[in-house]
Amino acid sequence: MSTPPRSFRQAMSPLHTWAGVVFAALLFVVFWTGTLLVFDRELDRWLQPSTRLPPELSRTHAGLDGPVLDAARRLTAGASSWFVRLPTERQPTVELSWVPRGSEDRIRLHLDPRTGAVLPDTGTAGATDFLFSLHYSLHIDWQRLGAWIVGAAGMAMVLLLVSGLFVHRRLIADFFLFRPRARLQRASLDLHNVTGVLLLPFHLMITLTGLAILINTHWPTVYGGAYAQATDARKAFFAEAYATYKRPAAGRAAGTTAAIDPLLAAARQAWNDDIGFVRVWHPGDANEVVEVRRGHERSITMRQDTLFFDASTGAVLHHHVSRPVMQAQRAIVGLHFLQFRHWTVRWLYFAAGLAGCVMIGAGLVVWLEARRERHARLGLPGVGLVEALSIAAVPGLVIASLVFLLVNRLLPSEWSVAGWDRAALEKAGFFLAWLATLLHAAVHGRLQQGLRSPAWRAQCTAIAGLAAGVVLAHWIGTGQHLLRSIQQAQWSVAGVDLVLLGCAALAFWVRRRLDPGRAAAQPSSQPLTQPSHG
Amino acid sequence: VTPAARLGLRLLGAIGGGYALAAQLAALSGGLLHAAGLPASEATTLALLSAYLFYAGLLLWAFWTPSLGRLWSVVLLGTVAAALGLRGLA
Repeated sequence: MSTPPRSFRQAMSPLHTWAGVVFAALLFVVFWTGTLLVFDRELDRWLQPSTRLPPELSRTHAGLDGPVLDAARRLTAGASSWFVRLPTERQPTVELSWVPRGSEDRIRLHLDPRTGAVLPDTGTAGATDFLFSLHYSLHIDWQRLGAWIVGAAGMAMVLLLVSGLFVHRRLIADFFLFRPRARLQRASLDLHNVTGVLLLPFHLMITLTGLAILINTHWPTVYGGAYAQATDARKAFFAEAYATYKRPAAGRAAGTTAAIDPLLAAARQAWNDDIGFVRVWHPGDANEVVEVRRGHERSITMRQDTLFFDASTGAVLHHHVSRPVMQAQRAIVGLHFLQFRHWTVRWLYFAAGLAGCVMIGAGLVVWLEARRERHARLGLPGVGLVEALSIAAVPGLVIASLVFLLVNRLLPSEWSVAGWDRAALEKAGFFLAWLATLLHAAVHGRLQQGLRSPAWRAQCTAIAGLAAGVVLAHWIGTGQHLLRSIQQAQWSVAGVDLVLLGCAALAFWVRRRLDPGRAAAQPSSQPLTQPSHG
Repeated sequence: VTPAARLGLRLLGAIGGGYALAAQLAALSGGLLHAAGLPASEATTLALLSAYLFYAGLLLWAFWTPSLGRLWSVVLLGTVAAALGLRGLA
């Protein structure tokens, strides 16, 4: 059962090609959504005009006592606990959420930190909900299947990065080789290599740290190692690893309640002025507990430090601090979640994420162009299939994302159609547009002629038009054009508009680059007999 | 054995066998770390994190090694050995 000995590089070449072609579309979805999520809170401000409060509220209105606390107690009356996220620079609202008595659905509202007034319903799942779920679970919740698929793609990415190092062995030479005017296949290969090599450390980091977030999904049997005696090892691990403090309700009304702001001040002092959220347990009960959790703005490590206060006396009941290995895991995932406040690093993550998208997309183009003529000659279906999927995954996904923004801007937030509110219509718009791009790509192949599908160009045109249209729709809908956003220092809104305009320009350039007049079916005068992989 | 069957055996051995062995090695390291004095939850977190590295290493090796026989003996015997080692530990 043995084959002739082969070098590591020879073995890595088919692995790189085939793991690449199987997982590239999926990886593009994960990389694209992840790149957008670098600016999730900024996208949310853009999608939810009512939440565009001045960022400095995070400093001037950092407390809860007064109108905000009154509103929270009034709104959540009867609930067994309620939760507020304090305003931050990137999300300057007080986010209040609770599960009403006798219900199972959590209600989430934004309050004005100055007045406690409930901000108008935002009518959107926003980036932090919709794109986030797509990023790590593809919205497939059944048996956490989506998180398993994303995990498989993550493992494939690790293999692709390592094998890529060996396949593109002329790494340093390749790095300085970029021929954007060369034939599409050559230019794509250069682009694939440059983005792959230049950002290899980032790609490895972001993939491994992403996997490290899902440790409790992918390895259900590992708990049995250290918890061999426990009947339910996983449960025993969770009880110990994420142990927090609980105090049952007393069943009688509280006499007095202490102010919350002094408790927050104590927590701020303990935690380098960084508070994330406050949860009140058994409100109004004699055993009411105020739980204060450390924030994640001032350190990469997303510490789980928690202080529990007695609500009537203000005494500290318990101070939870994670153990060292758990803290190390929180540092690793902190590199991925990027919750710390650092604008330069945030933009670098965005740029590196986009470069990852380019690397994946260019890799797909290399695969297609290297096989197009042969598959057409032999009547093989591979190129046609992969090309349709690639078009849907790359320009198609960008179109779907833009349609999500467009639906958000075109429909009023209180709108509903046949029982679907706007948040549901945004999602429906996203998935319908995505499906449409797939059908469009499937119908428009030019496989038999050995030609590149015109759907690439058509969808680039659609991206350019949609991105510009979204900026326009935002201007008309909110009266806030780019210059005014800049003038008013609304950087989240201005940033989203600027990136959209950049996207339109880039799509327009790519569309021109794909001009059939420039690249149409060039009978390869100098065939690439041995593309460097595959 | 046809080339298609060889490919199927390699994929199954690498992806399925590699996963089984990585999971078993991670469980064993969790048990060993705990036995060495690390609290059980800490040992488990470290083991869960290492599991991905074990798996990545095994996958690379499994796609490189020329012999299918060696691939399958390593994942089968390795998994059994790690499971027995863990049982001996308990």
